[in-house]
Amino acid sequence: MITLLEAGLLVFIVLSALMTAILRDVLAAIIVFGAYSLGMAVLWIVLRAPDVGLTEAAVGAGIMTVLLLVSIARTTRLTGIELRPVEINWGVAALCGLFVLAILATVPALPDMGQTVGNPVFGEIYNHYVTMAYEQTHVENVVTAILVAYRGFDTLGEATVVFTAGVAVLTVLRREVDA
Amino acid sequence: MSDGRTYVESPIIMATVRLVAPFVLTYGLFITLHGASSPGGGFQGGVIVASVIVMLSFAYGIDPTWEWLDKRVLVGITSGGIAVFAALALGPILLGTGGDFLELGSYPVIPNPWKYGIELVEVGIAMTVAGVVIVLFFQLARGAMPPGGSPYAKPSAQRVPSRSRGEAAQPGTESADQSGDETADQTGHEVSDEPVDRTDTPTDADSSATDSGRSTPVDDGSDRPSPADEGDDRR
Amino acid sequence: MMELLTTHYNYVVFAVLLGIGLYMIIDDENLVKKVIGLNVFQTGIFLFFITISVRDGGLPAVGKGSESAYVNPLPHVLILTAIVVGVSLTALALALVVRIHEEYGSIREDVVVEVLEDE
Repeated sequence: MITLLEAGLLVFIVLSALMTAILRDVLAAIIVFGAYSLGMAVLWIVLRAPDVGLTEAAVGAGIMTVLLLVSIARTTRLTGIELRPVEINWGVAALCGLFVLAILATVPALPDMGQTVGNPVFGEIYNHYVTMAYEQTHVENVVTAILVAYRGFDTLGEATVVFTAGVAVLTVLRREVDA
Repeated sequence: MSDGRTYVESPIIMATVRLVAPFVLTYGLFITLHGASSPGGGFQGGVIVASVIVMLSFAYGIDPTWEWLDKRVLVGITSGGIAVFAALALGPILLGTGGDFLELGSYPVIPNPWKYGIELVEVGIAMTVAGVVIVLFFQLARGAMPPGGSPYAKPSAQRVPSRSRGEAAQPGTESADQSGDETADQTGHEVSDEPVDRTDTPTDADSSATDSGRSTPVDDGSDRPSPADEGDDRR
Repeated sequence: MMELLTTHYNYVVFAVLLGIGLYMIIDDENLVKKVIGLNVFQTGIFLFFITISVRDGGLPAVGKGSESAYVNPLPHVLILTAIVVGVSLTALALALVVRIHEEYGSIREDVVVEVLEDE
């Protein structure tokens, strides 16, 4: 059953996502997007994913907002915040509506929220991770155990992706002196 | 520079940041090191550590903070993080104790090798993430500056060579001969009759030389040693 | 229908977020807002993953493995890494936007297209 907190958060998230889409002013959109990320971070905590919540708060609400802000700081003429909406292109909106309906059509086939019966996620692998993680790795936080031990190869590649992104940004923004 | 437009020196922000920064840094390190026993880990901790630098640059200005940062340290932690991770992953194989790739539990001597291996990997991840986030922030904040008004071109462009060299050489043993090849290619690219003396298979060297010349112009510029860089970049 | 909504509400939000993100990616002329749209789309998918890992009365998977009522930690791991990769990719996209601004003097798609047509 949905709790009041969850319902409030979900409404907040959907509304702030809508506002992000509708606001014409980029600065306003970024600020609302920061609020959206923060709402998401709280939702992750409510859904009992503290690791994800911590990451979302630090990365999504913190660093992401900062990166968006600094990248518009010099590319957009900022003259205060205006709250004008964009003109909605109803053709595209209808297309996106169709897309949403197509996804909604698959929703009834998904397992009920919070139920483990008929939820393929709670299978043998789940049992193995949850019961064996401490025994095998002596790490209390199962998320960390999976991240580094069971799926370490994945994480190594991932760290490389982050590194590569840094190199790629340096490459893209490398300045030709006196070009 | 053109920073004066957006940067306003505020004693309140400066004092607050000076007060808060060490605590944030400590929190980031705590999240990183305590990731094994409580929610947290390298990714989150790294980002929080990086946010200290972001905070400092908001308080003291982006350009002064960038000038203040030692770029060698920055590059060191960024590539060092990957190197730590890769070294720890390869360690069990290289030590010959019968461990597989990434089997951290097979390290001898260390008590509780899984746990401390995982902690070390987390530290490596945190180093890389922190370094990359700092680089991303400064690049995006400074990248859009109007051409000509770029103070970063000269001081940091000279440090780029030593930086990328360190990256190429660090990750593990198997890339060592590769980076050697690369430098040979580069000198071959500049002075045409060098590679014949240097490498025993001229055809191979030739093809790879043209390859590197064609596909990676950026590499070409940044990998050269700094004295040559001076003249070349100005042109 | 109502019953479906009470047991699947997060999935509905997930679908709506994907729609909003898609709209921003397709229609918004501002490239930075396109990037934000990409992120909204992405967080929608995160919501799907985290929702599917929840179980009633489940605790966060921190402990010594004695209790069995943990939420599923595996999707958390996937999303954790996806968030970090997401921010790296966003930064790269923003770098490209900054670069486009340098070349064409605008971060609006229509203006960039106009400049390109003039050339």
